[in-house]
Amino acid sequence: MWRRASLYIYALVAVIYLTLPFAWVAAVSFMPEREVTQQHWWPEEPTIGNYSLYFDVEGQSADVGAAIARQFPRAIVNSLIIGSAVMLLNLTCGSLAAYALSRLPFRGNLLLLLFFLGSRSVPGVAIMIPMYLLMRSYGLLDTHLSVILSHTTFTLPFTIWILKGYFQTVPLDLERAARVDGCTPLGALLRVFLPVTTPGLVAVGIFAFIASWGEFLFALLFTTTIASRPVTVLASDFAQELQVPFTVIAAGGVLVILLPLVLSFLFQRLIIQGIGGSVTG
Amino acid sequence: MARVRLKNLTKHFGDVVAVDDVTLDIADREFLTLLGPSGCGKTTLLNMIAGLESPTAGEVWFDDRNVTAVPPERRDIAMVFQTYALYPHMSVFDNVAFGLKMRGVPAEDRKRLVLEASKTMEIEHLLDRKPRALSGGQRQRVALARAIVRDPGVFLLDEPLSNLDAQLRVVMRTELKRLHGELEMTFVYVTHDQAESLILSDRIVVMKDGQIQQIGTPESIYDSPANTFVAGFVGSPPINLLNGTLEQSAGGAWRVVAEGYACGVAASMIERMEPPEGQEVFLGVRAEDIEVGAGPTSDRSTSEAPDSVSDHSWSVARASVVVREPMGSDLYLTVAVGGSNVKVRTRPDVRFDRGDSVNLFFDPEKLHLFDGESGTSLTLDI
Repeated sequence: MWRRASLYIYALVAVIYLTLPFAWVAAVSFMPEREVTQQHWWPEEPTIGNYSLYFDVEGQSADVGAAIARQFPRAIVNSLIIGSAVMLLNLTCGSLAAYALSRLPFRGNLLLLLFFLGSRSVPGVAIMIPMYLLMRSYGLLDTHLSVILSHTTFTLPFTIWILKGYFQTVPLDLERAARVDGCTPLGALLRVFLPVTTPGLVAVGIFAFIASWGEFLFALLFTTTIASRPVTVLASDFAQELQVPFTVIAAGGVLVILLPLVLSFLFQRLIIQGIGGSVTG
Repeated sequence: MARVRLKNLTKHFGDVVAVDDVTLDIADREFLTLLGPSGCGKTTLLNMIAGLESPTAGEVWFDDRNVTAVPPERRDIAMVFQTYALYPHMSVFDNVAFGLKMRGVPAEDRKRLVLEASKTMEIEHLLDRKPRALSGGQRQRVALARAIVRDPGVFLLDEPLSNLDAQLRVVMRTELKRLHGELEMTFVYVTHDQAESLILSDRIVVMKDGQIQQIGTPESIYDSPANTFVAGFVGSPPINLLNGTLEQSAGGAWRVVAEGYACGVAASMIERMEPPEGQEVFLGVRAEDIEVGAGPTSDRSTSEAPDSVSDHSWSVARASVVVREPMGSDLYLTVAVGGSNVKVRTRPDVRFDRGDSVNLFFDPEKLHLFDGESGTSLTLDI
């Protein structure tokens, strides 16, 4: 009884700890500016005025921060392009690598896996300059591709690890049955293996997308104009402009959070299955 | 319909020899069982017939076609796996229909064939369900339906009953036998369960360490095992193996002697071999080929005790009952003879109990003699 109760209390504390900053940002985004200075926790006169700046297509507004806010839709599209590409790269490269690692007993299998894991322990700052020089020499600065490639380098190892573990729970007999039933090796992969492992694929795909969506360092480093700038980098511009109302920044924050949040809720079941579950024949 | 021939088939996994030079001719429509303990190479052999493993050396032939290099999808086979391996993302109907779809059978024919197969396997009411909503027995039926629906030439079964509980196993065993009678297919069946192999097979191949130990009908495997391994593996309870020395008495009669027992050997058996005097042998006798009688000190006599262990008798002295196991229709007695235990199957009305002194009578016609070193049968004509 007490065990159970304390478990719930712990869970509740964790939930509050994790969601409170977001909840507050969301609350502030609906407040008129003066309520923030009065340190309200909840908007007493809720307004959506803070969001109007971001959808000011004609560019009429001369409010502080409007110039940045106006670029938001374009930056979100950039983030979408980058995130989707990172997700696709992760899924194709990751699933092939994980399949090989989980099914083919080749020499150096474990070493390779440990190498992938090890690469995750290198902080991004450490390889910042070589990465920049690389991108520059290939003429990739200020392109989507530079951000996509850099994001893939740190999401792919994680993807391979998760997928490898997930793929190993798929009984080998399932593919053998497909072969006997008339599938080529590729056919067995496409018609039986991939459909069966959908939860795992969805989970790592969304993780990769969200990781890319929230990444800041490399995106800041490689992008200079709105042609390639993702929304995280653009949002940081607010910090450079004095006097931008806190409420407007909060509205921008909500816009940035929105998509990952919706994705996580939509695919909640599959993500949990993909991370904690297994496939049974 | 297909005759399957394996020619000098060998499979190495690294340094491990899983299958060692196996040559086997499986007749069309035969029910052949590969029997052996786990790790004996039987499943690897089956996988090579299926094309799921490629042999290190040797050839696989279906009728007059060398299929050694043909991938599984282009061999005319169906397979049932130990884990059933149903596709979890498809309904039962789609599971059964999958192989037909892959082979380009039109949708209408597919439906008709799936219904036919599900009727045979009695799973018509399950066609809309997903595999996870089925019980073990139902999954097994679906797996069988998926295999028979394509009307393959060769039907491969890899321990299909081992994941079922004991009762269901008996039911499905009968079902398999019925299926083999109805379908005109060659069945190759892998199991480690000797009872299954005896009940189902036309012929049994007993394997150990990747090598064939014996090939024969269930009767011949049971009655004339080629070596101590086969003798010990096939039959329940396992055959009693007693070591001893072959001796010829002054009168010319042969017997096996060791501490605690002496056993006469029928002349007809001796004629079939050349027994060197003093050869170390294993004497094999099955539990049901032993009669039990009251020993010298027992008064609960149900049969006549022998006078003594003489040249001409085939009896055992100084034996005492260790365990009594009534099984309803039978009674099993474990009897200590010299240093070893002998299992005896007798009638349930025999009264001997723990501690009783008894005499054992071995049926001389049913004795088996094996070489004391190699374990090879000395009495089998090969």
